[in-house]
Amino acid sequence: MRKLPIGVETDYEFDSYQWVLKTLKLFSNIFGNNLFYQPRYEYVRGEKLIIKLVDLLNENRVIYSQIFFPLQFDFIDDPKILEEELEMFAKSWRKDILYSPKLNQLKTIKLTIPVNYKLLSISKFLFSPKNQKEVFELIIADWNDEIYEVLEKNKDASLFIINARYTYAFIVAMWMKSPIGSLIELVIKIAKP
Amino acid sequence: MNNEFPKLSSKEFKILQLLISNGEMFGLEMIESSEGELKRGTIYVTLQRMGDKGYVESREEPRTHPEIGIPRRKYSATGLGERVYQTNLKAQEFFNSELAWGGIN
Repeated sequence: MRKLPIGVETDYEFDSYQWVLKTLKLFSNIFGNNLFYQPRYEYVRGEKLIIKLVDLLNENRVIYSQIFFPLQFDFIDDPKILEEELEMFAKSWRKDILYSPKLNQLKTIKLTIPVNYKLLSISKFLFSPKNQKEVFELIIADWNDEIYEVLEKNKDASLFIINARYTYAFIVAMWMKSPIGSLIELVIKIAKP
Repeated sequence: MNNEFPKLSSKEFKILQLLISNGEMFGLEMIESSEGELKRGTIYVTLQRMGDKGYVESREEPRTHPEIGIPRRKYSATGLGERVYQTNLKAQEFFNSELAWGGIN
């Protein structure tokens, strides 16, 4: 069973991220609900949303292609029209990649959201924008940096240790920023001689 | 005159020590340079707190092409941070010296 990672780069705004998810869900409908969603750490501010396809079909070989399209859909208010536009785009996109012989070899593609983005959406929900910007986003930035550093050396490297380490770090940071965590810290501080 | 002695926690002390000796640094660089004293889960919480106290300042460091991504922040010690660090260092040195224990006769 092979997976096709699809990197989605956004301007990192939560709304856009939701929008990306929506787009991918639409793609996944067309692809039979089988996309593997792997945002890479790149993102583009503002004008463009880039979807990167990383073809891992060949052993130890990564073929990398990019599909750019403007965020013109952002300005479509009518959700129905937006959906139609997206569907049209997704179909032409599918047509393009279906002609790729390597992609033709795909058997299964699965849609998942990486753990760092899941955690980030939780922290976004629980904490202030200041904390999000000054604490949690910076952990994700370091997390992605370490992933990239490892992948630069070996494209097939396991990311398990990095993901486990940063998941723990993220949870610790959330704990420290939580009212209970702050209270315990204050008690320890007062109790110290 | 401010009589309140600004005490630093061991993490804050280490961060200021690194920033004063190395200049601007990323959080991850501080973690790597601290030989295990600073952790991934706590450094940004500590840096945020130090920023609120005015000990450190930071600026967003945009990614350079082709490296683009969530921008990281570069931290540096402020004048106040340096003074607080020096004060704590001196206090620590004095505390460890013989004089502090009445050892010089």
